[in-house]
Amino acid sequence: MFLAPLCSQVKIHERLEINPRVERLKRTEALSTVLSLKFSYNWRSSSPARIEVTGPCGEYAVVEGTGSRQNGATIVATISPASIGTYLITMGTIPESPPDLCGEAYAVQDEFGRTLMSEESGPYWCRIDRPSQYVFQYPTGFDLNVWRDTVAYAGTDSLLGEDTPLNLSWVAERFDSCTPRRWLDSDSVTVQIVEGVEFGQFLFFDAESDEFSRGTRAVVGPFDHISLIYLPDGSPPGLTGGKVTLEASALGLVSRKSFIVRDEAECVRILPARLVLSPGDTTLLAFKRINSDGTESDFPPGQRFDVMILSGDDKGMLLSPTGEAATELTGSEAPIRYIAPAVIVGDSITVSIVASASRMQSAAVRFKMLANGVKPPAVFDGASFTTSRRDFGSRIAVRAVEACTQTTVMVRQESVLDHFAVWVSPDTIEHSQSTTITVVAQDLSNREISIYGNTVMTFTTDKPEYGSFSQSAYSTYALARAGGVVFVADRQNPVGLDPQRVVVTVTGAAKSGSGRMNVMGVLEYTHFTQGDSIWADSLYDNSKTERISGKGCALTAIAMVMKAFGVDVDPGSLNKWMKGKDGFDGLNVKWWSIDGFAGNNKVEYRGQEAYGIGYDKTTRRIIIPQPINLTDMDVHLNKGLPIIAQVLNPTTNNAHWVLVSSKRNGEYNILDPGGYSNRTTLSGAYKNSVYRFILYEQK
Amino acid sequence: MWKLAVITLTIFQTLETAHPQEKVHMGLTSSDNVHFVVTDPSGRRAGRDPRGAASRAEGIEIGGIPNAHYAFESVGDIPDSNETPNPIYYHEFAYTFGSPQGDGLYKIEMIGIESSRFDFYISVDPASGSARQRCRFVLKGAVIEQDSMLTYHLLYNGALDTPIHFKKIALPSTLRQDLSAAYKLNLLGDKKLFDELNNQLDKFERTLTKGKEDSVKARKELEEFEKKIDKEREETTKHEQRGQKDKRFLAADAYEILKEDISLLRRQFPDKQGR
Repeated sequence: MFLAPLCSQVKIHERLEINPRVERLKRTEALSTVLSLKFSYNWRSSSPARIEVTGPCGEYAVVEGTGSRQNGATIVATISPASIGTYLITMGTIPESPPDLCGEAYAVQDEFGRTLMSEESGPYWCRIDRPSQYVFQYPTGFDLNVWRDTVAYAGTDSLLGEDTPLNLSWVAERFDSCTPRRWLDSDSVTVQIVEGVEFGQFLFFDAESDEFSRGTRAVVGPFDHISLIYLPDGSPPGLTGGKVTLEASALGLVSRKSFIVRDEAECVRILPARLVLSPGDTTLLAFKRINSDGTESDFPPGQRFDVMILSGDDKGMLLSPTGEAATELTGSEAPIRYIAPAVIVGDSITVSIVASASRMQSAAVRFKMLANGVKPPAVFDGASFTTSRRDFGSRIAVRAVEACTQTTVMVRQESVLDHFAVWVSPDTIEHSQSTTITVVAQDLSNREISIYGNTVMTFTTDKPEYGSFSQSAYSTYALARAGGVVFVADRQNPVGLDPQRVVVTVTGAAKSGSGRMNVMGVLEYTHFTQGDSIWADSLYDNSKTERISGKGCALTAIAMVMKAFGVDVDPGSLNKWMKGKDGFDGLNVKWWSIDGFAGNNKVEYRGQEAYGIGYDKTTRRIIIPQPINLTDMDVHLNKGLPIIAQVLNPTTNNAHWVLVSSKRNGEYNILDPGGYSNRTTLSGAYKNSVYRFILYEQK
Repeated sequence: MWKLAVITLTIFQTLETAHPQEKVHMGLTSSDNVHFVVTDPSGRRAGRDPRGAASRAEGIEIGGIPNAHYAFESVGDIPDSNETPNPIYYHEFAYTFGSPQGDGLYKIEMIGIESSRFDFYISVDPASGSARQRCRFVLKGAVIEQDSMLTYHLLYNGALDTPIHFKKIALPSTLRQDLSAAYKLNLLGDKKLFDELNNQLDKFERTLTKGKEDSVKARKELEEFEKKIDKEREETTKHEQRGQKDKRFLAADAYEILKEDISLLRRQFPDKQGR
């Protein structure tokens, strides 16, 4: 009994890569293949028979069997071919058997049961002493298979910084002897562009010159590491593209395949649904086509994408709709999701993702050695190597590497103090009022986190001239979190200025945060009424009959304005002064007369707006114009300045004057010289209707 | 009948010189039976004109002077009182200007909303209230007919010792207009007296159309008109002293108005010596 040599296992390492320098496009797969050939001998005889096979590397098998004239018999010799070459098969009945009528058949099958060779003869008298001899040449064919039939002319690859958008490369271990069974040193594959030479050329390493060469014909080998790059550097015609035919030859065998190069370069914009994720989060990646004119459009349904995380396995995974999770997805339809790593080192990481439409990764070519032109059992689809076990390890991948888009997603650590959120409530206060400051520790995702309660917090403002903190400038986080810090606008009163924006900055644990508030100027008014008994019966102006109680609403309003600015005056004393200093024209107050009031260096008349309520003597009807837009007063009121406004008194149906002191929460607050206790806003009896107003401001 | 109808033409105060860039408040206030239009030294106009307006009381707004504001003013609301309110309405022109930039001649054209008597208050106050030129004029009981116009000039100069003038611009038509208004407002009666005075004004105006030589004659006719009203006023006074009331009379207010017109007109005509 002969034993087959220990070379029945072949390990072929295949790699598909675009460029050895670009790690992201590397794909490695180990392939173990057990090859076997079955040599069968069938005969019809009662005599025993034997089959003996001898291979070029000493492969040997012999099998004997008992015959049957009635039913015939078959014996099978199985070997593991260690190499390509000529196999000698000798078969026939054993000489010691009696002569008999024989018929015989011979066949060679591979391990999948496919018949590689067969021959049949008989019936005839068995040749006891003259066994049949056959020669079987293995392998018998060479196939060049193109994975896809179209590649894109992509122009300059901006991402990779090279002008090599299309690569052909493969790595295979060579057969150097009968043990192990590899390609021989002398074996090489010649690949030649026989059609469409104007559309591109090869870039390959020339072993003889020991440098890279360009050309339309490349001799690649030995097969220890071969890189053959196809450069589609000639712009193909329009959308129809240019046909390129490659011819590969090895071991005296020839095969051709073609593909199309098209000028359809395009970019893909990646649109993550979320740009900032927490560890373990998932976000959907949407894709938009960037057209050559810069516009964007949707991809057609069913479009496949190649998506890859650029740097490292610790950057998370991509998830295809079929459930495949990998750092690189090839030819996947949408929706594609990005899954952030569950754990990251440090506070945050930035993940770069690139994508291209799949047709830009378009063609692959493989060499396949077949016996006598028999087709392989399954289509080699480029995604699975399971049916390529019969390959002898040579393979060319063609790939366009156009990928002009890239996006970044940030994965941020949770539960790490990033900043403080500072809430100021209320966020608008008047001078002398206070507001509560609440401080919340937050992570990068603005989620509240717990920190040590005794963490020392420092409070500062950018405008200390307007207020101070009720606590000292230092507090604990626990107190600040509980709203225990109060800002009091107890310093300058910004009357006459727009609301002052005050920024509160909180610092603690080497982090900070800020909040904002507005401090508004406000005057403190004394509410005078014209009916106050102190002056109600004083004669108004130089009239001998009219009294302040009846005519003094405007006078009283002016007195309130002056008093608020710090002028020592009341309606009685103001009336007296105005009598002597031309403060009236007729019974009409001169709004500006107070500018000359003795001791008044604080407030002055600023102007007036609108026509006001009048009277038509001919019809004896009051003339009520359209009310003004109340917001016309806001600029003045927001500075804390007073306005004397003319309203229509529903009680008397006469024009009346009130002091508008402020606007808060949409309401205009008033001080009514008439003394109506329930009239504190314009919205009540006065129906938010003002017909004229007088402005005052500080000198 | 107004017993104390007087035309007061008073320079209330004239004090120190104006400060450069001094802010000055000008206030013109009229009773609400007239509107008025102010023309500033630059020729810009502001105010209201009742003529042709849909509502004569509201008039047609003219707003061509920046920082000037013309508005209704009212005094007299009586909150929390059982008294019947007796509001008084005014028309007020408020203008704040810088002196001396805004100094100069202001023309004020009073236009009657109705035939009536009116008051007019003029005040010009430096904002500082002291040590500046300031003035105040009060015109009380003037008469005006509906849609007729009386013109006044206010010359303001904030400089030291510079007189501030306010004067009525009197024309022959002004005299006739005031005569007519006095008659309509029952300050003059009866119709016969009105016609007599009117005829005298006719003579006066006819002589005016004949050149310089006749201006002397026109002055004589004006003086004749003056003699007539002097005589009528003297007669009316006698009746008043006796407590009698004659239907032929000339009230004191009307007499004062006409006398002022005559005085202003007389200065415009040469006397016998051609002065």
